[in-house]
Amino acid sequence: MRRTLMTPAFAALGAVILLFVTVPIVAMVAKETPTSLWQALREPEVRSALWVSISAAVVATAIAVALGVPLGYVMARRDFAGKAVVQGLVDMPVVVPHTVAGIALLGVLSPRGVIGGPAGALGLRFVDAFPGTVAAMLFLSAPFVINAARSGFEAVSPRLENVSRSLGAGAWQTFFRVSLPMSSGAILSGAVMCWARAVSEFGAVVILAYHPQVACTLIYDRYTGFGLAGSRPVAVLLVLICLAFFVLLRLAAGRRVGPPGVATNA
Amino acid sequence: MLELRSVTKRWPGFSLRDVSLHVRDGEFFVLLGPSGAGKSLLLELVAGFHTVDSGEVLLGGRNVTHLPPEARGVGFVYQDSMLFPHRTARENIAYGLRLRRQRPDRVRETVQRLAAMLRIEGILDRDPEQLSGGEKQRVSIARALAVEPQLLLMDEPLGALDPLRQAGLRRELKRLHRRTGLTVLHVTHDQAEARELGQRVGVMQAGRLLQVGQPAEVFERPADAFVAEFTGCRNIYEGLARPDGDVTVFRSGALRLVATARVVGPARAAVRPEHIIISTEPVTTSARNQLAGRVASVEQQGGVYAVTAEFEGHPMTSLITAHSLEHLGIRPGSRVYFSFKANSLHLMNAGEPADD
Repeated sequence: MRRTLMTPAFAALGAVILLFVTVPIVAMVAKETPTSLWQALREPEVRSALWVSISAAVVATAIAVALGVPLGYVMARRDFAGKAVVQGLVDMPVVVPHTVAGIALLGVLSPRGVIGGPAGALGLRFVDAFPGTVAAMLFLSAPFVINAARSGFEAVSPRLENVSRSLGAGAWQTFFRVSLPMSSGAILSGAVMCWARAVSEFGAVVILAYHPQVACTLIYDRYTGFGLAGSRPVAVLLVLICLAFFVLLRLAAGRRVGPPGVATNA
Repeated sequence: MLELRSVTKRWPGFSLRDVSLHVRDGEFFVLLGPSGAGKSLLLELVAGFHTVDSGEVLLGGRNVTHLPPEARGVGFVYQDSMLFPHRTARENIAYGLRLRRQRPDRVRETVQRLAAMLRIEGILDRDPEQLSGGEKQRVSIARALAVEPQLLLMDEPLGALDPLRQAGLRRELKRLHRRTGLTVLHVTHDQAEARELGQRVGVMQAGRLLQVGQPAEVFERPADAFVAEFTGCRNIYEGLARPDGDVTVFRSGALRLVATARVVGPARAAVRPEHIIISTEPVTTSARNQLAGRVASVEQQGGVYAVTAEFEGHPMTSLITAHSLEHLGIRPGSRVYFSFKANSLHLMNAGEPADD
């Protein structure tokens, strides 16, 4: 076969975008030293912000999985009137600007809002509280889990579920023994994306719950107060933690299941 | 064992219409039909994967029309095995037994027994992706048998295998059926498979069950032109039948054929290629039909040759071995005689159209 220039040309174009993404991060990390990072980590304010980011993102992801996986299953298996509308609703948070989402959420979650009011009566406060952080994160990152679950379930043949049923498993048993394990890889990688998206959430969080400060809010605070050098140590810490998390979870997900619907040997 | 009473089910673009069927206890029943005839859907309906719009499904005398699949006690084997990819062959076979919370030693015993019967002992600890098509299908059959279903449903179980493995598994299925006495409903589009496996055969087309009977009956006495054509009878003619003494004379244009069947009026006549004897000279036989014509084409078909000749403007095809072809020196343009018995000519009333 004749060699063409296409592959090298495409590789060169791809390299440009990869460098554009990598260089700033590497350059930023390189500006910090272990000592400067350690010093930042010793500040209670920084530790608290990192902890709120990570834990609120974990809670948001858990809620997204609990509510989104069943929805993903329905979307994968059933045809119903208005399915396209439902899919539109699932994807809506992706197109809503984050500050807009924050304002919309504030409207319903504030003590005078339709959800915030009754929730307040039960002792659940959203504005400037941890639940508010979770709510903002959940709103904007849930689509990742729902869509990942949907495509994961779509890759599982309904015939496998049929066989399971014919062997005596009920609908629930079939879901937990066949459909869910077979899409667990897809769901897990959706959850990782959801978590990463939640940790990086700023626009909605800052409007709904400025406090307790998440890492992104703290970084912005430090940047406006102390400039680049003042905000960088926290930024680098957050990046390193996220990357570590990402790599670990990717490894875990990759070991368990390959591409959706394809069997692998653990 | 299985009884379908006027089962009707509409899908967008396809429906099963008024299907009634009775599969006897211990019978090997084959549903035969072209792709898209609705065979697989009917099978899935029996298994309970779809609900019916109207009609009833009875299993072992019990009305299961509204029962979910898990309450019906039927085994299902798909063409592409549908093994659970995240489980080994052994775990696949044990799936239904584990659901029933059987003791581990009993599960192991059952799996071992079925593995021995299907000759898959050596592959039990492999993952499905490490198995060949034939092995997968054996595991799939073992998995279905493990829960001792009252009825085994098989949807083209040999369809994905190469011819050699197909023949092997076909023999295996026959043996298995003899040994277990299981009631089997088997779907295929392969008439040879239906002939070999089926104690009775049902022919389906466009969501309807056209004819049910023993293979000899269905293949030799097709109920209509579609069944005739689908079961490999290529020589079908339209014309007029009229009794004449102790026989029936069928005429289509200048073609005159003799049959023993009693049919009067507009009719279709069919003769299977394998019932026709070819000669290059007129022969004296008991065959009441002997036609003289010229060979139009000779085609190789698997191990034999299909010789098509024209008789009074009507093409007719017969099968002949390579050896006979050479011996008789038949080639396009040769003068030949086609002979067949009057009772090999099957007459059908033309009243019912073959399709919709």
